[in-house]
Amino acid sequence: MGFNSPVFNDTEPLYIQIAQWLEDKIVTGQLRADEQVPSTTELSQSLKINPATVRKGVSILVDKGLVYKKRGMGMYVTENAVANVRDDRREKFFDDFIVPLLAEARRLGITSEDIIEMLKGGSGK
Amino acid sequence: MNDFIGFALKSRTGLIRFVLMMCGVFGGIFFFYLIMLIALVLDGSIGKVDIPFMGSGGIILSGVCFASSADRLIRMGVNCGVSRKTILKGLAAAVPVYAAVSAAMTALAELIAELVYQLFGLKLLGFGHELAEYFLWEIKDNWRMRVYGCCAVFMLTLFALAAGLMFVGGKMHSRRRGITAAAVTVFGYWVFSVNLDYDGWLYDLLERSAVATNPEYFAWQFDNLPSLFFTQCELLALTLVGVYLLYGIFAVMLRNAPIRGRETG
Amino acid sequence: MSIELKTLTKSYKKNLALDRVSLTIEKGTICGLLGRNGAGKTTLVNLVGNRDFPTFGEVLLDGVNVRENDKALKKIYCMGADDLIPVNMKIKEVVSSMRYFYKSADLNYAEKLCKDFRLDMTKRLSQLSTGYRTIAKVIFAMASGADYIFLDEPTLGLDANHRELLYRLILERFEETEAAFVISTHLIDECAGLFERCFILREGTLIADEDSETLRSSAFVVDGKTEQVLLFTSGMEVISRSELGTLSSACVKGKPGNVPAGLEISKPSLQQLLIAMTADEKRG
Repeated sequence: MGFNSPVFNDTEPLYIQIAQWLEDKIVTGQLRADEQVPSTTELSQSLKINPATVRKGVSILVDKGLVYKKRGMGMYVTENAVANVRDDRREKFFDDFIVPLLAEARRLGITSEDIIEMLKGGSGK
Repeated sequence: MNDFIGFALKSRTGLIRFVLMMCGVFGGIFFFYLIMLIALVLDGSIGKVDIPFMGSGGIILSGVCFASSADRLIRMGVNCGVSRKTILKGLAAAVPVYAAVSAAMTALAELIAELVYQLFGLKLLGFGHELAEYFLWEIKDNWRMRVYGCCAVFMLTLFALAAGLMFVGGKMHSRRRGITAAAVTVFGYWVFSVNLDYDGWLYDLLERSAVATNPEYFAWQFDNLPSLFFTQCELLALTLVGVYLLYGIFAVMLRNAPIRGRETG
Repeated sequence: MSIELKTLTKSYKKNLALDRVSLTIEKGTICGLLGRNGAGKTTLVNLVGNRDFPTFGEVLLDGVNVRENDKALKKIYCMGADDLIPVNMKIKEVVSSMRYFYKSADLNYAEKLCKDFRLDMTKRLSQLSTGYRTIAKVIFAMASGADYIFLDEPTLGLDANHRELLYRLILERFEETEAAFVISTHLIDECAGLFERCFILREGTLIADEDSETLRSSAFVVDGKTEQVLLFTSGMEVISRSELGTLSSACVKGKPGNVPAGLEISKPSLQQLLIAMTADEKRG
C-alpha cells in the first residue's frame, strides 16, 4: 500500500498545497527540528506528483527559512521552523478562519454576541 | 549492417521461427503420405499412383509460412520505429536467405521421402525423384539438370515467398486487398508457366547474336548444348524478373501503408 | 532537445483528424495530451511514430524531420491501444526483439517491471486480459530506453492499485532517465499532478498548450441564479454553461474580480476544465 497521500483540492496551486502539507507536518510535530524531510524524489513518487512541482513547493519552505539543505545529505527542518510556522499562521489566522466564520455567521443571521457565547462554551442561541 | 536484417535473420521471431514452421510443414506432409499410403494400399493402387506432393507442397507452404513471418517482422519493425525504407532493404536481403534455406529444406525433404519410397519399391515421382537419381546414380552426366533442378526449387520458392509478401503488403491496406494481391500473383504465374508456349526464343536470339560475333567458336558451343537447358534457363530468368517486379509492387504497397494495427476496409 | 510538431495536419477522406497542430515537447518533461475520444490524440501519436504519414506539416526531432528517419525514430517509442505488436508473440520475445532496434533497451528493467506487476513473461499478448495487455505494452515502452516516450491510454483496464504503481514507476523512470513522457489519458484528475504541461486537442485542433498550473488557474466557475450568472458573465469569455432548473453553473476564462452577493465562485479541477473546454456546441 502506498503512503497515505492527502487529497489535493483544486482551490490553490498544487505547489502551494504541497508546501502547506509539509508545514502541517512541521507544526503538528510529525517532522521535528533537525529531522530529515523526505527528498523531492520520495515526495514525488509517493504523492504521484511531478518532481518539478514538488521542487517548487519545497523551495517555498526554503525561502521561509523552515527547511535547509545539508550538502550531500538532503533537506532538514530548521531549529525555529515550528515557531516560524506558528507565527506565520497566527498572522493569517484572521483571514483564514475569522473572516469566513463571520461571513457564514452573517449568512445565517448569527450575531457577534452569539459567537462569543459559543466560544465561552454555551450554545449561543 | 541494417538492424532489420539482423532482426529478420538472427532473432527468434525471424528465420528460426520460419525454419520451425517448415519442419512442422514437412512433418505434416509426411503424416499425410502415411495416410495416402494406407489408402492406396487398401485401394490396391499402390505402386501405380505417384504422389509428388512434398516438393510442391513445401514450396507453396513456404510462401504461407513466410507471409506469417513477414507480417510479424514488419509490424514489430514499424512498432519500433524502423523506416519503411530500411524494412524494404532488409527484406530484400532476407528473402533470398529464407528462400535458400526453405529450398534446401524442401529438396532435402523430397530426397528423403523419395529414398524412403524407393526402399519399398515405390516412386514419389516428384522433384526428389530426379534429385535422387542424379545424386545417387548418375553423378557425372547431366550435371546441368541437377543445377537446373536446384535452381528451379530455389526460384519457385522465391516466387512463393514473393507471393506471400504480396499478401502481407496488401493486408497492410486491407484484408481484402491482401488476399486479392496474393491470388492474382499466383494465378498470373500459373497462366504464364502452364499456358505459355515455350519455344526457346531467348535461346535462338542468343545463338544468332553469338554466332554473328564469332562464328567459329560459338557455332561449336551452341551445337553441343542441349536446347532444353536454355529453355529452362529462360524460365528461371523470367521467374527472377517476375520476383523483382513483385517485390517492386510490394515496396510501393508498403511505402504508402498506414500501419496502425487497425485494419481498414 | 525537443520534438516539434509544425502545422501537423492529417485528413482522411471523410474528416480532418488533425488541423495544423503545432507544439513542442521538451526532453525531461512529463506532458498530458488530453482531449475527447476521436479528438486526434492517437492520430498525433501515430504520426510521430512513423506509422502513418501527415497530409501536411512535419514532426521534427531536434530540427530533423522524423519521417522515414531511422536515426530519429530510435529515440522515440510510441505505445498505444492498437495491436501493432503481433498478439501471438510472447512477452519475452517482444522484449528481446526490441534490442535489435533500441540500443539502450533494458531487458533487466523489463523483467523487474514484469515482476512488480506480476506479469508472466512466457505468456502471449493474446492470452492476457485488457488490463494486463496494457501493462505489457507500457513495460515495453518504459524498457525501450527511448528519449521520448508516448503513452496512449496507459491506464486502459488497469485496476486502482496498478494505476498507482504505474504512476510511481513513470516518475521513477523519469527521474532516472530524464526522458520525456507524453501521456494521453481520460483519468485526468488522477494524473493531473504528474503533468508539467498540458496539450488539449478538440476535434483535431490544439486549443491549449500550457503549463499545468497556469491552465488550472486560467478559469473559474460561477454558480447562482441563471439571470445573475448571465449578467455577471456578460462580456466575459464563457467556456461553457449548464443549467439546473433556475440555476446555472458557468465556467469562465480569466479572473472573477468583484463578485456580487448570491454568486458562488470556485476553481475547476483540471478534469472539469477539460470537460468545459471540449463540451459539445449544442449544450453551450
